[in-house]
Amino acid sequence: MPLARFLQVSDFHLGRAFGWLAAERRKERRYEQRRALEEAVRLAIERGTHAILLPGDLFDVEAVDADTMSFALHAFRVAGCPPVFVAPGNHDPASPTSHAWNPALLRARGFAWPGHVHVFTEPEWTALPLPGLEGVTVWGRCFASGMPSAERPLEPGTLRGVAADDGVHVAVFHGSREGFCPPRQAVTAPFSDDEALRSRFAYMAVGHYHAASQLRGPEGVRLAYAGSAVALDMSETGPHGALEVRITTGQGLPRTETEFLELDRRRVYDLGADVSGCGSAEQVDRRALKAMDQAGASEQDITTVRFSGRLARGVRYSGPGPELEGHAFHVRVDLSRVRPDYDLDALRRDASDVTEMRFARALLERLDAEKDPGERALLESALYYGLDAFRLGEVAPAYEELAE
Amino acid sequence: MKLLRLRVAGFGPLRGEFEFDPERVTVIVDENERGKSSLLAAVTAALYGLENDRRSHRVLTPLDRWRPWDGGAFGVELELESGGERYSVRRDFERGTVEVWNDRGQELTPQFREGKDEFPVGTKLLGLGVDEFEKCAFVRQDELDQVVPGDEKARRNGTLHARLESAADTRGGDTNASEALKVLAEALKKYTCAELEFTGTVDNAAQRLAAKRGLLEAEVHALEHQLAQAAGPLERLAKLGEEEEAARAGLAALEQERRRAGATGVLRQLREDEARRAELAALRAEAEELASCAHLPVNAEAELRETLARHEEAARSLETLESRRRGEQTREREALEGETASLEAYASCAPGDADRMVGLAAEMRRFAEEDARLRGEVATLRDALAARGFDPERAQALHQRFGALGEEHLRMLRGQSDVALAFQTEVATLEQARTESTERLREIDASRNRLRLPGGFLLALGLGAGVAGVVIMTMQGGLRLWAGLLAGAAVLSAIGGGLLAAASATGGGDRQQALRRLSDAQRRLNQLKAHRAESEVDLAEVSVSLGFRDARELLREWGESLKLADDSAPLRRAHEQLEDLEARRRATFEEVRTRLDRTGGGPPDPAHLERVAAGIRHLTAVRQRLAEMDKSWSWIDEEKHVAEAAVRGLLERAMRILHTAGLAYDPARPWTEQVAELSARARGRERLVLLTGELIPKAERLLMPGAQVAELREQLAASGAEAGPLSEADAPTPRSPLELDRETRQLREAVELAQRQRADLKLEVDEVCRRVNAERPDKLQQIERLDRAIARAKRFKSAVELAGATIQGVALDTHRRWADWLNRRVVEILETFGTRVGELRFGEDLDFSVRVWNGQQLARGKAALQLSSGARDQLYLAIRLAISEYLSKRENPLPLLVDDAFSSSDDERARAGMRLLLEGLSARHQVVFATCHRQRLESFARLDPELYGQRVRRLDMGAVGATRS
Repeated sequence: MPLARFLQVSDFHLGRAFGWLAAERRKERRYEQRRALEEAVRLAIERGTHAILLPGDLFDVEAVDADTMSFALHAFRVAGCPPVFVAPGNHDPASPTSHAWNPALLRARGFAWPGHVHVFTEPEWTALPLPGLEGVTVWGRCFASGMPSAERPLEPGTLRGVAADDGVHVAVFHGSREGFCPPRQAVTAPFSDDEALRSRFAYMAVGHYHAASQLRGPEGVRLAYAGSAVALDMSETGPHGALEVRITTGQGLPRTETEFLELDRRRVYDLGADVSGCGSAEQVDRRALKAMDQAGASEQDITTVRFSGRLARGVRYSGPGPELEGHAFHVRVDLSRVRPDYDLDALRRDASDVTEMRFARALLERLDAEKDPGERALLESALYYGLDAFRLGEVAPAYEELAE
Repeated sequence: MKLLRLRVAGFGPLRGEFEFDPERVTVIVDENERGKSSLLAAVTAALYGLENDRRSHRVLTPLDRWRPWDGGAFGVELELESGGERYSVRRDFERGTVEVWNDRGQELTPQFREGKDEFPVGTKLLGLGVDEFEKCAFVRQDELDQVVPGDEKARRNGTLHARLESAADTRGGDTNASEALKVLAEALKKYTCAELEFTGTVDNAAQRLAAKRGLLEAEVHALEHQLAQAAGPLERLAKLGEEEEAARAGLAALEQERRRAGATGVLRQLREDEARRAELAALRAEAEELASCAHLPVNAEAELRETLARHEEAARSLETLESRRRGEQTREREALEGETASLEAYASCAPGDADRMVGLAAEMRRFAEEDARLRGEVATLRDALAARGFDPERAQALHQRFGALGEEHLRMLRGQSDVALAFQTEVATLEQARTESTERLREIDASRNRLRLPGGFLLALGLGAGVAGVVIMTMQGGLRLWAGLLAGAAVLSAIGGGLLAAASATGGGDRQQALRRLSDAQRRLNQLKAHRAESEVDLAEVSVSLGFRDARELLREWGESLKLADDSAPLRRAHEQLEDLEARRRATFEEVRTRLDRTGGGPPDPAHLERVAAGIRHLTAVRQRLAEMDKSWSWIDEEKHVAEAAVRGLLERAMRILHTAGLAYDPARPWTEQVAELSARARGRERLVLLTGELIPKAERLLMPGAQVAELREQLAASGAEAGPLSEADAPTPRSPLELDRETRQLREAVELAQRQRADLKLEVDEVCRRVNAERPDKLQQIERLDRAIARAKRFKSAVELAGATIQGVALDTHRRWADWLNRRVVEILETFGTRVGELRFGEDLDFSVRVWNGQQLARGKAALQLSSGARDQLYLAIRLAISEYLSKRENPLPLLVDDAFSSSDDERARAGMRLLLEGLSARHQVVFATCHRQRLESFARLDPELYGQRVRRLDMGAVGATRS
């Protein structure tokens, strides 16, 4: 029999602008983001969870606008909604100036969190008993500012006196699991796997990383990121949603298992396509469409197509055409690995006295000697522009985003 | 490349077959205009074709220019050798076809195709376009300097420069360094920035992007500032919330205090209720006393007062009317009688006299107007007649003269012109009828004569034959003869008779008719003439009687008389009207006089007549008014009757009002007393109404319901039970209800104010938050995008500049290579000519400078002006030859087609030039040299017999003519 059942969901980032989407898509995406929160609450009620754990970044910014605030309050003000434990994250820290968490400011604006929503507004660990379940305590800590924090929430010193009794202790917080931080995300409130495993929490619901992941111990899942409830940018591939966390009692420590519940109806794909041999922009688009078909990306999905290979001389591809755009909710192409159809090795080998060859050799020698990626990219661009000038008699911006 | 043979089917003046020696210099010698230049042009045309684009050759396209002068086929065939293979290029310019074959009989045409239907064989074999070929290989005598155009732009845009670079690069065909640099520079100038929708220089784009970014950054800062600024209102909002809560707490405390004071209030309420009940009882008693006044009409007093006032007023107006009537009547009668006395003169006149006088006055005025008009008209007519030369005396004389004639004679004269006209008309008609009849008779006679002549002849012949037959028969001649003659005579006589009969019958009816018409016309003519003669006799008689010389004078005078009468008719009529008018005026005047005498006389003018008429009418009116005066004041009597009736009615009404009020009218008492009595009763009624309608119900409303009284009593009892007996003295009222109300009101106002301020601040804060949330991320995104765009632009610029700099470095080396070669080689060639040039320096753009023999350094333009024309031509020839050599260094050596290049050189230099061609250049290039200087060439050949014998193959165009097909 499960002792406790939770719905863990985080990183909604309500109010996000979605500037990377086309203007006409942004509103739709924000609507989907809100729908995800309503859906999460509905799932929590339907599944009879004891609480909703929200480890941070419910809002995208500290100064939440009235419309978003009102929506969030009403989303939780639903009959049957279980207690909600919120641990503010680095995007919506619980500072005195927080429009979302400071009760005085909130009240001043005519808002108030429903009684069953408990916000951990202290940067230290504080505990709240789980209503209706004796022996289960929910611990939480908040971010007090929007700056990255180096404080380690799970180090023994910080946890002194925390979860000291024999009950079941569940932690809700916002932090970075070391070694798993995505490239474009800041490390804040870091912790190691070891620290997590050694803590006395039966389960830790963590927010911050937008991809779902978990840390298992001998007793099952000890720590999990539910990831962002919906994909927030093009890098957030895979499914997005919530976790149902079930803690069961047995011999020894309680056992925890999680179940992923998808909330985002769209998926983000990151696909590759080789454009070698394409003789026109339309052919390039068709390669992308083929890659999307193969990956199962549908028209409602968000797709990044990373092109690679050598594009035939004179083919200018600046972005997706209408056909490709019509096959996705949003599509972005990455041309940094596409090169013009110049055989650099052949140029290196060519010992002729031709100006063009001497030009190519001069730049290739510098390129080969250069280690700095930026400089290398510049040299490579210069080489391609020069060769375009010689061979095509035409130079148009095309090689500014070359990457190794 | 070596040219071997040229077959010309037709090309300008040229036709025939020409062989070129691949090893020796082919010298074409001929007079001017014989086709030397055409031959060289034909070679170019065979290699490159002929253009026919009218846009670039508006006057004459090359195709038209080289059409055969004598018509016929238009084409060439060139055999040549290139890259170890022999080719035969056939071009039919008429049909626009090209064929390229090799010596193995294979057609290679498709290999030379370029574009849709171009076959530039020369480009494929030599790597030079037609322009470049003509600049390098085709040396015309007057176009030497075109190899290096004077204009820098033309030099830079020229492809020859590029060819030199390409040659230096050992490449042919693709873009060279200069072009690549140009392309790169162009790319930096035409950078398209999608974020700005701008195309311009990359620097401009970067600047604009940076400016836009700055703007966005400022906007973001502004938003952040607004957000920071919103912290103040937010705090104030929180503070206001606290203040509102405090005010609400105060309100709650007051409410408690009010409740505490409730018990005292209950006691007071009960006492007040008792007092109100007592007051109500007193009011009800008073109402009962006044019950008798209840039926008094509401406005009885006012009505009575009003009726009495109106009664008095009616009585007063009755008296006024009577006195007014008397006074007015007297005054009017006096006035009318006075007027009657003043109009005594018209006493004997009736109103009809006045009308007649007015009519006479109008008639007199009309007479005067008519008279003036007619007199004016007479004068006008007289002037008009006088202007036309009308002589009144002459008219009078004629009138008198013809007035003596009787009516019959006058009618005759009047109808004379009609008779003459009718005579003329009828005579003409009759003459025509007579002519037609005569013509018809002639025609009929002619027809008859046409039959009568042969008929008569045949009849005569028949009679002759019959006489002969009878004679022969008589003489016992041969039976056959006389029988035949007789038979013939019978036949001929019959025919002749028949013809004569037919002639007589022809047009019989018509002839009779024509004869009848002719005789009728003649008869009628005679009658007319007789009638006219009679008329003329009558006229003559009349003219004699009137004293005229003859009838013609009579008719002329008659005609003039008629004309004068017609002309003066209007004047005559006007005179008659004047006379008539005068008669009528006299009659009227007499009547006026008679009438005026009856009214005391006076001038007989219309104005006086009208005055008299007015006086008569006025007198009549005065008499009438006097007669009707009594009648005119009868309305006063009517008014008097009405006023008397009103007085009676009002009195009755006043009595009725008193009766209605329950009072009896007493004529002995003055009305004032009776009115005062009614007034007292009216006041009693008003009080009763006030009591029953207002005071008693109000007092009843103020009474507490019994249940409430009971409840209050219970409360009071309960309060008494809780806190002992309650009395007014110990009531806990530290503050009065008024104070409590005032404080409550203050607190409520404070709450409301806080709420209002909170609402305003909330709006402000919400708006800032909304705006920041809505705009900031978007702007940050835009900044990010602009950063990327700026980075892209900068990187593009860096990359293109780096590419350009690298190419520039490499190109300098390239330039050095071809320039060094040309500098050296041109000087060598010039030395061969004997031209003293110290040094030549080619610039990067193909321009050059020269250091001449005296050490002076001259720019190309200056050198072209300072050098003699021969030296200049040699200089350019040398450059051209050097360029051709350079371009041929690694490719197919160019054939040199030289068209009299030494024509401007002196003999020595020309000889030297020829030696250069024969000894130097022809070793590598095939040289075809055309000249018209036969003597000069022969003299050179005599001077260098061995050289010319070995190296020259002469092609005399005159001699070649023999080989022409």
